[in-house]
Amino acid sequence: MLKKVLTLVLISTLVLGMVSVASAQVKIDYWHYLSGVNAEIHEAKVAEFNELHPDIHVEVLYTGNQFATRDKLMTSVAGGQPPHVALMDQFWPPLMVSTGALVPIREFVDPEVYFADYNQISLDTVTIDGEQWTMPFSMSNQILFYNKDMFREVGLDPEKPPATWDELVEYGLKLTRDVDGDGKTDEWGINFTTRANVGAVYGFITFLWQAGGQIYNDDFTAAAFNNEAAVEAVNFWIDLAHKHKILTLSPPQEGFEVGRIAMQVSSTSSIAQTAAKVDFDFGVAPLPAHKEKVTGVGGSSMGIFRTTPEQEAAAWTFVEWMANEQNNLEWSMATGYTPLRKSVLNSPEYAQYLEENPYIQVVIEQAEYARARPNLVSYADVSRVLGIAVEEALFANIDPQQTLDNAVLEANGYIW
Amino acid sequence: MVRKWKRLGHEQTKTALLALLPSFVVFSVFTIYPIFHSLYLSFFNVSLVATTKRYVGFGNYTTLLNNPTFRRAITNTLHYTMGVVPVGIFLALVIAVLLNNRLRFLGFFRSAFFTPVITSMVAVSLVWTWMLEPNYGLINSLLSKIGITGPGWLTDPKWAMTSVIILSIWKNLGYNMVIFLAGLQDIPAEVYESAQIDGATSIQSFFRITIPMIKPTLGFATIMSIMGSMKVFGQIYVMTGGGPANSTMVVVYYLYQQAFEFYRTGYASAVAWILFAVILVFTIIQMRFFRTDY
Amino acid sequence: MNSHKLRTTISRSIIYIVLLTLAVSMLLPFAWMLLSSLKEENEVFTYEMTWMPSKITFSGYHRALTQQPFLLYGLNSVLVSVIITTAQVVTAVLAGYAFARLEFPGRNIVFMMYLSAMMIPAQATIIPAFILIRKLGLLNSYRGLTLPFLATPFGAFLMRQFFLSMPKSLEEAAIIDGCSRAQVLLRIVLPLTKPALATLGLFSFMTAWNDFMWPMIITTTANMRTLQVGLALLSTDIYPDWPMMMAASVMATLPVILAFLSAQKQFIQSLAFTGVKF
Repeated sequence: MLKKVLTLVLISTLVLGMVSVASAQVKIDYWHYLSGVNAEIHEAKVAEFNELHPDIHVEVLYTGNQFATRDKLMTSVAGGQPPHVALMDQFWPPLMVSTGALVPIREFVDPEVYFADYNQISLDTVTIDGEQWTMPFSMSNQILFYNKDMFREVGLDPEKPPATWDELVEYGLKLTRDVDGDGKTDEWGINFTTRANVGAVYGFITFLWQAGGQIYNDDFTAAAFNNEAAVEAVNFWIDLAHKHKILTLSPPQEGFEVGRIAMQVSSTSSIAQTAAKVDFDFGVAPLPAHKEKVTGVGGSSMGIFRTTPEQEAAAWTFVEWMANEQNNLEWSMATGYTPLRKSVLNSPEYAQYLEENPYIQVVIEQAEYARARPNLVSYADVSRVLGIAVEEALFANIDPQQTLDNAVLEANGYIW
Repeated sequence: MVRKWKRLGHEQTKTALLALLPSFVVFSVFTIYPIFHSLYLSFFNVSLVATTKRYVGFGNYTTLLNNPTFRRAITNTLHYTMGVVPVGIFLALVIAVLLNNRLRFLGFFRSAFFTPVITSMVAVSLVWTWMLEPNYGLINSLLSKIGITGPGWLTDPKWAMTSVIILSIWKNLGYNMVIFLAGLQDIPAEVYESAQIDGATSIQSFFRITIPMIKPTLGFATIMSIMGSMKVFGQIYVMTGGGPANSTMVVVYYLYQQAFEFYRTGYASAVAWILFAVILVFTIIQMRFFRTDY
Repeated sequence: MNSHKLRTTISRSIIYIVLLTLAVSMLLPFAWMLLSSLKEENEVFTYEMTWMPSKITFSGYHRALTQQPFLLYGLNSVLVSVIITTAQVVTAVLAGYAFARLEFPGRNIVFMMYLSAMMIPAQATIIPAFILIRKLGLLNSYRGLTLPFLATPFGAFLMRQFFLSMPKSLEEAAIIDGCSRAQVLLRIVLPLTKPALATLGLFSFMTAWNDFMWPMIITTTANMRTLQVGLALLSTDIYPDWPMMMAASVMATLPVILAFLSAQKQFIQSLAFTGVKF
């Protein structure tokens, strides 16, 4: 009888104990927009975090591609029901900060000390008015993918990718071909995103910088993308499409991957995915330069939203763990993203990885002259106006001066 | 006796109030109140995500009318309407006249033309986006078989609006056809028979009998199509996102973008009220001239 | 055969040919959707377009249900549409009956209000409606998805027209026999209005099922999305998986097409009768 009672007591204590553990567990909602292999790696990491932290449970949710996620995030912030943590593209935080929904990093740690290990460029992407609002998570830059087999077919040296705009045109002309002889081009020299609503402006800004131009004036009080350099950059795009005809404005889907496009401006974040997909000799090169040698930086950071102190603390634990040395190393090696921490960049493991993956070496070399887009609230609007103006001039094949002048006027309406 | 009726009348009022209550509450709260609230908001500089609100008078309206993108949206909406309405009405009328010949398989034909009407705009827009894909899509593949290089339907600003117009005509054809068919069936057969005896050809009787007899229906369908065209949104969202180069930016898409992508609540409310005012004008025209007896 | 008859036969054949051609081209997109949905992921990217899948595969459907939560989206769509349809039929019957049969002060004014509300485009009220739902804390919930649509002026209008077209005598006899209004409505009127109810039900279901702007803006997480929202989000992919998207489109359109085909005659007739655009 006593035994029975004891067993009962024991069991109930156990059950109660489990219940209390369960209720002490903090639940964290985490939204991201990664897809494909990167999403699999990322979500596996989150699962690992949950294993290691029984007191926190992170519920991970894919909320659609970047554009959909940004909209959903803003709606949820507007509705006062944001997730606890979200992965954000580089240009969202300024807007989020203006709504007061984000918790700045200094509420958890001293940024001076904590970010000492971070590269300057990765900090640039998350600094708004001198303050770090989000945790840098991944960083990529723009890079040239090329198909070495196609280079060989037209007699180009596969180890000598184009280094300048002029060479890009010269190579592109050779690589653009009508293979089946039906009078229609079916292989093109170069490709990049030209549609404004899928982010063409990100790529264009790099061309703008290469031509020596700027988006804003020096003190960021007005838009400045209608000077000579900007016109030259737009004209270069127009020439690629309409004069040299080596860029098609209706590219075949996954044209580079299936071997119908010889060179493509891409993000370093898709190196691993592309290398795994293609069955030709795949090459990666720095972007061809013009007046300046520069590439654009893209990236994402993790933001913590205002909720309860308890949840914010759990969110910080999660965010910090995801970005710690070991995980930053693993993430960089699995995806091709650039390490954010100096310690990771200089680690022997990463050095060995670079040796095994010469593609990535290019990325690291480029990181030296990579440039981040300005972190301003007006950036989202200004860049949208710019993107549409470029698209308009490019598709209509018209002198871009007038279009850019009008766009600068419209953009200035968003800057104050 | 009089008292009994009074009592009955009183009861009827109570019953009626009870019966009307649910629907009245729902659309007072979600239609009547919002339309006035939206007017109120249109006089403020207010964001969906921030808490501050600043009175700007007609500021939003003047900004709006000077904004090149909004102006573009207006001309594009007109362009769309001019593309969709005349062709759509004409085609629907022709098909209705052909169907009105006491044909066999009427049910099949009617269903075939009507199916696009009932299917979701999102789904059919996706299907058309795929058909219009420049390199692998059905349309360009068929064109290349007869030696024509098809354009980048949705990627070329010169063609994008045309593509959206084609989809929209296809989608709504069946609706107008059904309306016309009903109108045609009200025309007595004797009228045609006597015209035939007088030696009129079918083309002549189409213009001399059919058109005048279904004028009210024609007017009704035209006004309804115009109003529908001003509200075009779903196909734009799915197929073009207003692009390329704003070539398919229309009023409702502009409203959506301003309100739910850029969170300019006050500004977008001004767009909503301009849209509402224009639709109101057409509604009044419709009620004045084509009023069916309520 | 005399020449007149011959002419008639020829012109009728021409009409049939023209109509058949047009009908086939109307249905072509649906055929293309179905055929594409049965192809392998990369089979759609061929230089030479092919109509038929080289091998019929359901992998597109499989991807739609596993890589994307289309099953969940479908369940949400069913739930939301059923709630809206039921509520709309009930509220429309009540309001329509009140307008058609009950005498009360201000009836015409109230009815005119209903009619005018019908003219207000949903796009013009969507911002305040969103703000209201947000204030009520109903973003991303079934209540938020359905509340604004539980009653429509159109439904009240449609039912009123049907009630008006029915003879009054039966109801009057029942009332003299001592039936209450509720009994009259349930036992006598409703059984006679089954066709109208079917039409209204089908119409409501279709509109709710196909609606997209509202669910798009008020759902924030995948578990609350409807099919249309899920589909629309697919369209933003830079590298679309066409067979999967076509499979999802088939799943999103089939229920409505089947419902329509089962009641098409009825539906089209009452549509022409009311002449209301949707």
